Amino acid sequence: MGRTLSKLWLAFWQLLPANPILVRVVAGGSKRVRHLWLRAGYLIVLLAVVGFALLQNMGGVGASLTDLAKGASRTFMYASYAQLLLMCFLAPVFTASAITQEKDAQTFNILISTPLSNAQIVLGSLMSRLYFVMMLLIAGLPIFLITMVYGGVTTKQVLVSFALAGSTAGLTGALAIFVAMIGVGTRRTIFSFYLLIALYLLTVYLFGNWSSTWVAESEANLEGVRMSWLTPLHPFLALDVALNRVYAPEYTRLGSYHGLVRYALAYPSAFYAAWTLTVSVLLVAISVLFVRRGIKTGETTWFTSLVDRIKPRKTGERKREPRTVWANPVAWREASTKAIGGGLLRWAIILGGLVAGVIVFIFYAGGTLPAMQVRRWLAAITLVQFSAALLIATNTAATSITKEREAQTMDLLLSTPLTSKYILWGKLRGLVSFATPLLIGPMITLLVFALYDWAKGNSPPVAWIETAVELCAVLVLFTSMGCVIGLNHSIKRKTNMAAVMWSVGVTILGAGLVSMVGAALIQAVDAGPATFVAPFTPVTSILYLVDPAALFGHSTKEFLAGSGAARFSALFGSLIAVGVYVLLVWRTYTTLVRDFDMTIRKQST
Amino acid sequence: MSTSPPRRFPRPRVSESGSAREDTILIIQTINLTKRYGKLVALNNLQLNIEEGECFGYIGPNGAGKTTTIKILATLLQPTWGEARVCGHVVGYESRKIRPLIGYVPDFFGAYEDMVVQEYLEFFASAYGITGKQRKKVVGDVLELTDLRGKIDALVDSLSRGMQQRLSVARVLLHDPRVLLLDEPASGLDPRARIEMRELLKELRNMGKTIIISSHILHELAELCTTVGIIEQGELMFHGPLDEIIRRVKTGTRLHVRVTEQSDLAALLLEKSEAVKGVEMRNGHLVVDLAQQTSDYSPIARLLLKNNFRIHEIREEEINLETAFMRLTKGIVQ
Repeated sequence: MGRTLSKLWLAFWQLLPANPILVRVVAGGSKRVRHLWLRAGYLIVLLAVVGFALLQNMGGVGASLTDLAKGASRTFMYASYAQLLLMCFLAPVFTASAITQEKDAQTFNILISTPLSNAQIVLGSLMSRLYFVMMLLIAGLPIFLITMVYGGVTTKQVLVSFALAGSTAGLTGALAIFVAMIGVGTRRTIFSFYLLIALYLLTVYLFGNWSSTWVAESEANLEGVRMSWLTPLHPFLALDVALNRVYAPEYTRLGSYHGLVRYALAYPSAFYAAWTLTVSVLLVAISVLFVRRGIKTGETTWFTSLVDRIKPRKTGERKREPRTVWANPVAWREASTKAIGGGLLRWAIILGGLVAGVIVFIFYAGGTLPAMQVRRWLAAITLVQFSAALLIATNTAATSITKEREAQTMDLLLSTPLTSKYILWGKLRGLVSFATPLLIGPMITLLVFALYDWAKGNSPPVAWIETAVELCAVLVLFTSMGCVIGLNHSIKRKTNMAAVMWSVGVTILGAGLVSMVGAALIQAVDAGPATFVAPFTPVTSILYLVDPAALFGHSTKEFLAGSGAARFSALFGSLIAVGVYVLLVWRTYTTLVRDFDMTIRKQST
Repeated sequence: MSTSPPRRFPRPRVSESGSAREDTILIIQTINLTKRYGKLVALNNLQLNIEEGECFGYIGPNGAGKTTTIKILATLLQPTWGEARVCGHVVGYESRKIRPLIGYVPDFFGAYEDMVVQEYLEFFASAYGITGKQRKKVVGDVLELTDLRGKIDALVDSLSRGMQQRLSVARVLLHDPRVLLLDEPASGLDPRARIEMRELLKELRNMGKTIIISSHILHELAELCTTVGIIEQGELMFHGPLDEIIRRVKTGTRLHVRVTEQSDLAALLLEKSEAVKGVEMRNGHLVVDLAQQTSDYSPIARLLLKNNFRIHEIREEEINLETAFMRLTKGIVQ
């Protein structure tokens, strides 16, 4: 018995604490200056959120204990959302490197030729990537404990908040390792990985807030919102329940449901943690089986045979009909790129938007869906479509220079007579041409609704004819802004990964922050001035132009009653916003041109 | 770029337009060219003069400074000190005038993803300002010249290494440059591709292009180049015509002698001879340096035969670029 226990302990010791892959990362990673800055940045953001929330919510000197407890509870809520949001962004960033790192560094074959077991390789790779994310979580714990001092926050709530963030990070890591081990990981996969996570979080959250998905047995909160069926599948919806913002139905009231569903609905946070953990373990187990299956070296396995049946692999020289190159070759290259976000993914997003629009239109024309609901749906579709377009455009821009550097084509370009101005203008023009079709779905849908209502004489219509044009203009400009942010980081950062991480981070944070400020301003001022503020931020502009009732809090019919003024302010506000963003994009572009030579040459030496 | 700082060195004998006097047309000139990367001196006071139409072979160990020199001439790097001039234009000050005059082939193939051969060439033709019908014609011409006509619809990243190098050469011929800067164009090529590449370069040399080529395949350079430069640790050890390097290296006569048995005794015997400067045992045979340059080896043969050694082979060491390179460089890597 003693010998068995000793063997088990030794196996565990070799698997995790003494795993050489993990030891290398733990010993070396913590000392890296970049990691130190990231840890500091993460804690600063959390501290700032908690600090501001405490200042705003804790009342004055004479605040009662109840006020203090309520204030602490609200502070905890903000901190929990901030933590989960940061985890959803940082966990994919750190774990996604698993997908290409070994392949890029060509170290994988060396690794599998060592006596390390499959489990050691998989768990070492996974834990070495999750280590940093988990350290961030632990580092933030004292900040959460501050909120417990005033009461109003229970230990269970803190644990649930950390469990949701931790299990989300764990699942992301396991998914990245799985993709890396089955050998389908390329740079495109990394971006698809980000995009799918972002789209999943956004789409499920939007559906979760749709009344048709609400569980009838759950109690409505003060705003009349009930828990959704999707809550056990989404970390933010589950967090809403943990923070008592939405109420989960009691277990006893769910007698008509069977075992697992009943448990999932009654305890959504626990169920979320449980299923993510189960899926993570499954993914790791499958990865362990795949490590030495030879799939990475091009050998035929059942998986490649399956893929080959669907899409046969081409060997040797591949051919294609040549396309016509534009007069500006750099713009042509960017616009016609089939790299990240190109091809299938791009078409899936364009067609997805159009199909969703057609479905909503069929319901509207059939009289099943009222105009107000249609607007909400159109706003949701536009928001999802715009988020995808912005992420794809920012990511493609972020890799446009680093990709040239890694493919070693930058030197070829720099030895031609093309100037920095010409190269960057070409890149920007190509990127905008590439991203604009991604926004075409919502525009066409809006136009169809506007024309339909105009032909039918419906008043007020779902959308005005000019709304599609206004929306197109502001969204293209927001996307252009994402492109110049991406280009800026593509020039400054040395690797694809760093450029993507910075660009996407800055864009998401920037778009989110200005949208929050815009929404707060709109709530604070009268409807008149608010109509001029709304087009300046991505989320408020979509809501303002597509579903104004969601933004202004009164019925769309009332808002549109003075339609002439409303239409004029929308047009005028959009024009000013477009002008301001054109100036911002131009200013950033000219700065990039000025810095281009210096930065690129500095990097090459 | 409108105001250039005062020049530190005299102007070359080439006019601003790139045309030059007929006697010596210096197309490349470096004057005290120095490049430092932090504490590392990659190039140290390099003085190079290359005339129009020359095919210049640039040789040196890894890390000697060949790529740095070529990158400076291709306007991709700026010197830390000194000047580099291409067709009379100073690198760093008049780089925009230099770029249309040069064609740069790096030691790697910069492959754009999802681009076929014709698009690749049209892309770079547009970058050199060649548009419309002219572009189609030029692309057709270079495809013909480089024998890539059958590959126009092949994706560049799926081409073999040899074909990719051929395409690289096609790319730099699009704008008909005066100078070709080729950084190890034969690296990683199989024997057939290497021979084909050499023939292509010979054709370009015969067209009157000035070619600067760095390579580690010395016998091929010897066949191709009119002048060579040997660089080590950033310093130019030799620069001149091929026959001059051989003349310079050949300070005495070196014989390779093989006797059937007792080579060590034979070595001792030869060492005592006045006609011999030194003897070295190498892989079972004797390398004998004679005191004087001569083509008469009979004293050595007679001496060995007199002492009952049976001679299996006696021949003079051939001086070629490889032996010259080995003698002139120390093999020190920075």
